[in-house]
Amino acid sequence: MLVIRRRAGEALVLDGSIEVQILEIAANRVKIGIIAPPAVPVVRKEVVLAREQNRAAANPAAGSLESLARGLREAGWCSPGSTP
Amino acid sequence: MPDSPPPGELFHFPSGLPGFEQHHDFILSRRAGLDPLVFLDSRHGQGPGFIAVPVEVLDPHYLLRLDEAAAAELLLSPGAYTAAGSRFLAFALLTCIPNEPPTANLFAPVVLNPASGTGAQVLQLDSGYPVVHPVREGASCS
Repeated sequence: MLVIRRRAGEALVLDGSIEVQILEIAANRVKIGIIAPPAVPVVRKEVVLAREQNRAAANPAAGSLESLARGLREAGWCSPGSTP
Repeated sequence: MPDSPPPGELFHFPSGLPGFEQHHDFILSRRAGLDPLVFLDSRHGQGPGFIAVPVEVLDPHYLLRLDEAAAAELLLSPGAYTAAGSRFLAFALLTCIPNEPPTANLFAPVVLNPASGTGAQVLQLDSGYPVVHPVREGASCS
């Protein structure tokens, strides 16, 4: 990993066309501005993780879900309207 | 939250789901004997389908935060909510791979507002909730 120290108001450039500006530095957060060509998608890493997890979760292989459901019920879940 | 989702109810996701942004309409259903699992399937046959579970099943104290953007999509008010007394449903999507322990995504619950028929997957930024949360030991997908 390349590590670069920057102060608020400074910037760095990626690939000659993407500029990352350090706008503001707080105690535990950094405000960043990004100037990039429209074709370059910029998303939070959390969005990428959610996207990857959704793809892993989609269309699960057909199989018995009874064991899973039973395990969750045994964890204390009760049918709506039933008494715990 | 309401006691239970009506079977086969259609929800519109204005932004789709991360990774499936082109799919906007999903049907929520339940299947006999498989409570508390629910099923969220794209209205279109070739689209994605998911297994999910109410977040409170995995964490009775789950705190859901709706920011302004998510609240606007869901036609709800922004804020932090627990399961009790809320007007919406919140589900964790399960990753269910045969012969592997199932996991639940508590970081990005699917939130449904039955009153408006809208849904959104709401990332819980800065919450500490994991993308991969182990489901109870003993529960398995096969």
